[in-house]
Amino acid sequence: MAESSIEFFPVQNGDTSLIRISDGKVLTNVIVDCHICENATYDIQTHLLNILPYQNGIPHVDVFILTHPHEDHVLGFQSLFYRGDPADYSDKDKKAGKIIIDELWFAPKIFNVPANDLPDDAIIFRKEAQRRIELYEGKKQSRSNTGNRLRIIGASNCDELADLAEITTYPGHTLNLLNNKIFDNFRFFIYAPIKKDSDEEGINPNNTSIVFQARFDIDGVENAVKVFMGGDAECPIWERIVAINDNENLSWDLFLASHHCSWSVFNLRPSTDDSEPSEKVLHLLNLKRGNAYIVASSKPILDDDKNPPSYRAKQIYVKKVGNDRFLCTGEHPTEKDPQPIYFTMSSKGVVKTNLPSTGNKAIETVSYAATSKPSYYG
Amino acid sequence: MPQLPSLHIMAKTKPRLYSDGYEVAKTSDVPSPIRKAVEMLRSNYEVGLSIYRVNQYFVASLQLPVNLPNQGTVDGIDIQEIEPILIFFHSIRFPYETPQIRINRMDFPDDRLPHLNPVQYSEPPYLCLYRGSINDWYAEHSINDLILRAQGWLQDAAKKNLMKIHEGDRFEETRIDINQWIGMSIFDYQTVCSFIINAWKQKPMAGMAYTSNLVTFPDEPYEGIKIHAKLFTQSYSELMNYQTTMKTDMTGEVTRIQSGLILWAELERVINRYFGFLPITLKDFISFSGNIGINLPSVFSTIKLEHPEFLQQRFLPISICIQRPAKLIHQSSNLEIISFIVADPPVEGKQVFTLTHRSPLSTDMSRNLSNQKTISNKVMLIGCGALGSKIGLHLGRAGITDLTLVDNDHLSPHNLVRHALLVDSNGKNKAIALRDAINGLYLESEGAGKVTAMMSTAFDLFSDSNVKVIKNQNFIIDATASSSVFSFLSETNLLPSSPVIRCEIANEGNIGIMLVEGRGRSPKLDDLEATLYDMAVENRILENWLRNFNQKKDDDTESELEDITVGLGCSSPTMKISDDFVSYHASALSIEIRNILSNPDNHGGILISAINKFSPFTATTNYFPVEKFKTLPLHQPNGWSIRIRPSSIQEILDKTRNTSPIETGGILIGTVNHQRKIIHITRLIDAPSDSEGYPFSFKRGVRDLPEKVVEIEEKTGRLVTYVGEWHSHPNGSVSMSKLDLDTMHQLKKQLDKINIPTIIMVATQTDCIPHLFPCR
Repeated sequence: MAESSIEFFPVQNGDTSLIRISDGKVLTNVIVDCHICENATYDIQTHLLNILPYQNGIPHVDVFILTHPHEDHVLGFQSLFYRGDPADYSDKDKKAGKIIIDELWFAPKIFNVPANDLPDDAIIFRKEAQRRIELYEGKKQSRSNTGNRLRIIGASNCDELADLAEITTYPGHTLNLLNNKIFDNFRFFIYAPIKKDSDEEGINPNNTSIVFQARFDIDGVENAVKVFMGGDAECPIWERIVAINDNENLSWDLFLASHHCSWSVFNLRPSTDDSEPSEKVLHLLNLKRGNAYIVASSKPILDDDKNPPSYRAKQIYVKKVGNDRFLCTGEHPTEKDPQPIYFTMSSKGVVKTNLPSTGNKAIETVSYAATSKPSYYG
Repeated sequence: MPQLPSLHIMAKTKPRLYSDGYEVAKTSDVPSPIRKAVEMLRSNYEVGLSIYRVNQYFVASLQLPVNLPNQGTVDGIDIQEIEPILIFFHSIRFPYETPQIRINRMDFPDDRLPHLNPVQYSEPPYLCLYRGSINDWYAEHSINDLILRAQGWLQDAAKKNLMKIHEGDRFEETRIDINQWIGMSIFDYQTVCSFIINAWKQKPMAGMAYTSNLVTFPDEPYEGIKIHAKLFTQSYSELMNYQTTMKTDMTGEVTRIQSGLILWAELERVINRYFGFLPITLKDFISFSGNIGINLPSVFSTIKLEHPEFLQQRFLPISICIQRPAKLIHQSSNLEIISFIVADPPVEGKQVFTLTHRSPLSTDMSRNLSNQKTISNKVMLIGCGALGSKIGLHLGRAGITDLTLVDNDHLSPHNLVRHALLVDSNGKNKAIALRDAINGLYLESEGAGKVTAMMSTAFDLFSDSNVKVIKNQNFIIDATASSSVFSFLSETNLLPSSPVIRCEIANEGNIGIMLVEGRGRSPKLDDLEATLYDMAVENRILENWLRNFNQKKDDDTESELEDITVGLGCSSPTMKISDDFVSYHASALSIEIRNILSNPDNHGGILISAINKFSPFTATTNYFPVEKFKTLPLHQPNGWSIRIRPSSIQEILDKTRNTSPIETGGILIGTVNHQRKIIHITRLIDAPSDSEGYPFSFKRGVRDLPEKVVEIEEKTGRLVTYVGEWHSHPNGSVSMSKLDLDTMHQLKKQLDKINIPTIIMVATQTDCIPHLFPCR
């Protein structure tokens, strides 16, 4: 039986992560954000189609989490995933390899932004969320079917979300219900967004991100692995999180460097202004357990003034965990041919592991694509 | 003056390495496949400069990086971030025998880890990297894959993930080194367990009992000693009475009665440790027993006091019972029983010998006789397992005795459920036992008999000393169900003219398959295999099988099923196929084998024997002739080769001529063997109806095409796929135009994703030349 794992795909300055939770028999798959670029060297769709489970020939993912509605977290949503009533999934969708999202997770902010301010894929995402919300509000029986489920992370006064308290999870709480299944060996702990982040005007959408830890029990050891992920949350959010949580609740084994290794995690003022990194954020980094890992989901990090990724941020991370345990998706294992960064779990934390071979379930999708366009010969 | 750092601080204590004592091999002595493999490793790992020579092996050393849990290894087990490993390449059998991965560090904590193969004293620990046949696994993989597997093993060891007892996994029994094997101890495991559990109920302490055994000494060097335990008792007088009654029943000179001991520790004592090696001297045996809670000197002195004559035996069978933390993998309880013989005086410097345990098992089988006209062909049968033994016996019983039987395995009781031979062959080499069984039929008329046997692996047949025998054969029957043997027989050029007949059982016993090479070995085994997969497009039985296989592969993310292995080893005790299924297919295959042997004009083809097991039982057998294949020359050779049927080439050339001067084209469908870099084009799909041809260009259309291709892929379990396209240059050259190259890049972008090379074939009115572009 395959084991629990987490992998980070090389998607330049953006996030695409896959959390896989084993209950000893089947794997539950959670995709966090997506940033599928046209000319990416690593083909994420083929990868996912090779490993995700199929029901009646249709690929499914248990949960998709959108941390916040920025392009670097939602690009390619419409090409990768199926939207609409799962009963209408067509042969054409199947041939295009569209994945059904059993349960959709998002933070309220997406409904508090004018459409002009949202990237195309976020608008499409919102439409799909809206479709599911209507099923829910209409108390339609089909609302609990796979492909229609949803969950809201964080409170809001937003009208669209008024009647959804039952399927809302608030910061400060743990959540072990994923896609209608209760886990006793896994849970998310939610740190953000709070109501103010989602509802107040003028807040940078980065700071409306869902911030959470994925916590795994392994071989009977509770919270043996704690993975910290926070979309693009910036310094003020992290400082608040540190201020209101005790150390035990903040310690971590694997930290996804927020906002693609951005300096804004340490200080909102540019690093070129000689701004100093936040003491609270440094404290959070010190709460690593053992030889912990930090992953930057970004382009290769160069010694320049650009941000993100920020070279100065990287230097701070490297100082905390060492050069070997700071990994950048754009550089792993080489800049030329980046491959996903893959971790498995043990009762004493995460183990960086070689990516297992993925099988060949995607062959049909690929040859369909190859033969459904004409070839021209001279 | 600056102070020099003191030397003893600078020199970090290095672990002692096994390789420190190895002799360095001369580079020129290292066979080229091994050199290549080591070179391949060098590009990824820090590989030691020297290659060592250890007995039959060339040994490379490598610094293997291991990722440890970030908080340190589980239970603090001493797995390190860089583990020095040794790779033992067999000097002759590599690459067909998988290199052994061993740990170079002498202080490696092997006694705390499962999944280690048995080794002899002072040898480096040897990782067990695959549950099934590692050679079959390796036939489909590379040396880098093997190293990755070793890395995974070490990471699992650091995670304590090699075996998960609390998740229902079972405890791995102590493995007995095949080189140390001298025979077996036969007793009913259940009886012995109940006996000890009963003794613990009376008194939960360490204890002992006497055993009375029937001992059969080997009368041939290939047989082992057999110690059959008949009685267990704690009463010495009961033992004596039993021995007396037994003596009067005794027949045969090679069998004798021998009393022995069975010992166990206190009930509380549960042993987690694994034993990488077992004692070979009495001193080791005493300390080994002491470590598991059995005080051997005290047992001996107690017996000596009461029954001094008992210990004067020069040959004492002693079984040791060890309580494990979980049920054993192959048993119904957590008690492991290891049997030894203590010999006094020592034999060959050894005093203690280990026996493998076998439970007795009896099976009823019927016997028939048949007749067959005399034929002059010499036949070699490789693999005398379930299918092989039945076919061999069918042939033998039909009077075809010009047979050479080959197998290197010994018959165990669980084999008897499906093997043609019965319990009296238990423990004998399969080839020799089958030889004896067939020759035994004719013992009275022919004396020694004509059938010969070789205790050998398929690979060893091709060593210098055996090659004469194999070259002398008219036919080779391969019934090994092994994919490594399949690859080997496909590739070897030592069999220029003896056709190979491959027999196997697939789809949980529902299908029997026979691939028959034609005269001059054309079509060859791999041509037949590709054709077989392709036949699933029209053949429902094969479609069912390949769909099932694929479904299982998709459902099971575990590595066990990651390989495309069509055959099934019948030797596994977990393989659930009844004897009648195997016999049914064996009969069907054997009938056609006898036809082929009697017919000098054999063209090659595929026989499929299919069973519908649901009531009422039905079955069909069909034979499909297969055309010869040829290799197409690549426009620019790059290590790949393309095989195709001449009739397919003819079809392309005909279309080119018929549409000339207009260009035309079509789709290439086939199989891809990444390991051997061979593509078989098994069928063509016509250009779709919306295609457009002009004198100097061709547009391949799309109407219904993707659907057709995907249907083929689904029906063949993705073994047969889209591999490329062809188009004609009726009055031009076989080179690719600029437009052709652009199209190739478009296709390649897709095919790279699934690791399939892109083929564009260009046909003129006389030639058909493929351009192949390997994946990035």
